Amino acid sequence: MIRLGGRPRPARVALFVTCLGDVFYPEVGEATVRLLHRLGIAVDFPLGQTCCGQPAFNAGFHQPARDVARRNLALFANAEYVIVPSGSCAAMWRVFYPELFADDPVLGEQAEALAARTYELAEFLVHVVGVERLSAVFHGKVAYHASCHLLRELGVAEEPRRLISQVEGAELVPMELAEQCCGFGGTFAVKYPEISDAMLQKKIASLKRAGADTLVSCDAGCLMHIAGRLRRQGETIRIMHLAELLNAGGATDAQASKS
Amino acid sequence: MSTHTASHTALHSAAKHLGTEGFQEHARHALKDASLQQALQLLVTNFVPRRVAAMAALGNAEELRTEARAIKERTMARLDEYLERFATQAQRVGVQVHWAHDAAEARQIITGIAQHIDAHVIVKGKSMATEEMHLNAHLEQHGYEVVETDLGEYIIQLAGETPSHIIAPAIHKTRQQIATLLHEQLGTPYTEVIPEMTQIARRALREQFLRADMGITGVNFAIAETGSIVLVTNEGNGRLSSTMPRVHVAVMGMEKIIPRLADLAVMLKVLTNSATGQKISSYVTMLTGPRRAHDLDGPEELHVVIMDNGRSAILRSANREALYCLRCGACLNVCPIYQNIGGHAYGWVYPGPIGAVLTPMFTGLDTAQHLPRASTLCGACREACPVKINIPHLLLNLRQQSVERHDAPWAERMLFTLWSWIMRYPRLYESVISLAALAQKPFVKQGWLSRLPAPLAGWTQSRDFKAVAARSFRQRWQATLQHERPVAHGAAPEEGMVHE
Amino acid sequence: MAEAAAQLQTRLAAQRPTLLAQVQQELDAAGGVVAHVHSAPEAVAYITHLAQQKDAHLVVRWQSELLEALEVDAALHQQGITVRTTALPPGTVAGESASTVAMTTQRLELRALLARADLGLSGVDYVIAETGTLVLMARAGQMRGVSLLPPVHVAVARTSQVIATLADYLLLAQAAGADPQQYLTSCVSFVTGPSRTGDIELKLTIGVHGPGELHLLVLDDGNAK
Repeated sequence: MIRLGGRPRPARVALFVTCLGDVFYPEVGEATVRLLHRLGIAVDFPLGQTCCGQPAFNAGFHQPARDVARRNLALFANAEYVIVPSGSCAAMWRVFYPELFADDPVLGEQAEALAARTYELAEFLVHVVGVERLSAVFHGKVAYHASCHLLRELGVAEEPRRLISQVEGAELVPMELAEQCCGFGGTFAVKYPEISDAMLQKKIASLKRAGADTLVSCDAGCLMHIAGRLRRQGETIRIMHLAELLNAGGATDAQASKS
Repeated sequence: MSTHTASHTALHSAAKHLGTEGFQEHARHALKDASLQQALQLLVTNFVPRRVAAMAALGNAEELRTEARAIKERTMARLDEYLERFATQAQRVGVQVHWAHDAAEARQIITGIAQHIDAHVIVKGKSMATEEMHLNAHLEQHGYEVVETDLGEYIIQLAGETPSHIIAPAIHKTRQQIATLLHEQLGTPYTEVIPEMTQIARRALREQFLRADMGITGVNFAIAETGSIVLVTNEGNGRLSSTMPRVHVAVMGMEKIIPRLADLAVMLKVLTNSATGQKISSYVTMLTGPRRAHDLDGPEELHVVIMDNGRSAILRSANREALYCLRCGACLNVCPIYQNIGGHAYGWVYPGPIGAVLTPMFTGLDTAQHLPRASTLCGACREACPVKINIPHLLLNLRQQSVERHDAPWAERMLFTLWSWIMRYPRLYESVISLAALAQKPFVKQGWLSRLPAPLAGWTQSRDFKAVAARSFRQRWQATLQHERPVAHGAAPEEGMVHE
Repeated sequence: MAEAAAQLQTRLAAQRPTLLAQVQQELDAAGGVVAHVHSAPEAVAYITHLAQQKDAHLVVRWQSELLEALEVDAALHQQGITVRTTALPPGTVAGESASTVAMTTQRLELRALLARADLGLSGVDYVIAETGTLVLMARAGQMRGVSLLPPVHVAVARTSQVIATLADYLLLAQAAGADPQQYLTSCVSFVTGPSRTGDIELKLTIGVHGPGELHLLVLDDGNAK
């Protein structure tokens, strides 16, 4: 633990980058690491990690989910903090791992202990690190999409907005349907595509009404979903993960954005 | 009415379970039904803001919800005891208490009462419990004239449809559709003016209240301590149905019990504020027995039919809290799925999030397994629920049960077995990712795919799909990131980020 | 129980001015009309004026001490309006049951009257300030239909009948007796405003099956301060 001005700051964290992050949005993991480095925090990345198990769990397949989750209990057993740049994966660890292993006295305890050390990125930055000022620079009108698990399973609402406001040049614009589900829901988007798309269209309409040129969220799944539609429609609104926004600055602006 | 709407009517007139295919088809229809979509907008512009404002105005909404939930928890923990107490107290004040194990028995009991009192005309207040047992059809088959008196239910009855919302049964209908309906069915002059349509219904139904032999209502709360039943209404039809006819039959699901009279204050408050954003409904009627010797009106007989119909199974299950439901409809109004497809696609009595839980539990998970899956688990329902039912977790429970019963398609089972292998062996995982990155190459345009193969094709109907990154995070970590270092902690002067 | 009730009454007496203002605000918001009157003649004037406005021919009222004391019948008669009272059959001795035949006849007659009455006039058992709710308990002389069948309902309350919340009512009720059969009558109606519906396009419409108009006269019985 480093002590700075009387406030203890974590010296080292373990990163769970999520399968979506690893495979589809590696820039998010990169931005997260660099951001944490800039805060003087070292990052471990246990290479054995893959997925949190949520896809199987959500589909009702508890055994495969347990098989996969069990590995994470072991891989991160010694981590003082586990940082997850995803609301839904962080919720899986915090809320559902204890449930998955509720019947196992040993693993159940491990799951509870691990859950207590697991943080989604925004809440970690605000509540554990106590970030008040950022050196990030990003010029744009930013709307924030409050992903569902982050908002309603983890209760993280104001933290991402607070962080966005700390980025120089970023104007946080209110979006009426900010807290409305975007229609991703994992396999829901594939199994019920028409309903999913109807939800998505309403989200995008709200985004456009907000007059934003950039949409920021803490979940790659949502970003993928929204970006996919924007692209199909030929829209130029930028989609960014919070980590990328907080890591943006001057010349690196172009790299950090995505559409 | 257009042919499109007519086929819509045919789909839900069946009043039977739709099944997965039926649900998908119905949902697609609903999404393209312009007048339904317009009607559903009312949820967003009207119902939801009213509830939000009302709950905020209370000042202590959170505490009230917590307390209301605690009352329900206490009740369910000792439900048999409270039911016994209710029955004892009710009987003391002259109520005839009937126990119905299932819908069939409930129908039998009610028809039996009608027969016993030689009834001909029956007026009905709104009761979702009677919808569960298809009571109207049954009574009509037995020769009784049944008239729904709640305006929304009356409209639905005239249209030969089923309710699409727990609180506003005819919400899916436009005023033009209702005007046509009244004109065609009642022969009254055509008018689209809402107060005029309401008066037409009032006049037509007032006659029925006065000639009815029997009134059937639901029950919002049954108080164990006093043997009283409570009806929460706005129109006055509940009062009239329970006062004018000589016999009143009140039908309740057994979970409607609350332990004490004093509990009513909290329960009523969370119910009306959540359902319609009202501090209290226009009429709350507490009935303790039939009329007394010196009462100048009121029914000679009061029967209370307490129905199980699958509730005790829910009570014993992991989804017990589904029984806390007050039937307020708040979850429907905030559900993005319900907001887009309306109530009929759910295929049974209870639509929306709570319907997605109750329908499989009442009618069978085998035929209704699609309902718990037709959700993104966004949790808006849980936030809106006056008794904080954790609906997303109940839906997850049902998905798990469905899998354990081998209801999931074989292909999905195989998929997750395969997935589990891939996710447990990082080398295998890496190979699969590399393979995917390679296989997708010819189809990738600027980092996106516009078409996906068969099982995932639903996505690319309307959206592009992100291509697998050329270099995964783990590759980047191993190549460069792991060698980067944090800013030395001595150099970090204060909170916040520091320039490199 | 009794002690709690007594304490409550003391508290309520002290809060009365605020509660009265709240009744006005709440019932008004619920679509009812609230008038504060300071004397029996004032109350009677309001009622007769209203009855005239509505072109009423028949008024049916509760039999209650308060309504008797107002002497409203005479004033209405003067306007050519018939007044009938929902009393037990004539000749019934207080505390004894009337004969079944007499009761049946009386019930049928009153039912027919209420079906064509233009205005129903009742007292109240309580008025709940928090929500502007009238508490009407069915008892001898206090017939349910009076506040239900006619298109206009007028209720007269004394300021001392105003309480703060529903919880207050439930407490006071239970303090009045040990047996629910005693402290709860066959029907307790909580009435808040005229009847309403939003069943067509969620557009609010006043006046469905119950009365389309509700007037509450709050009579100052020295308990307004």
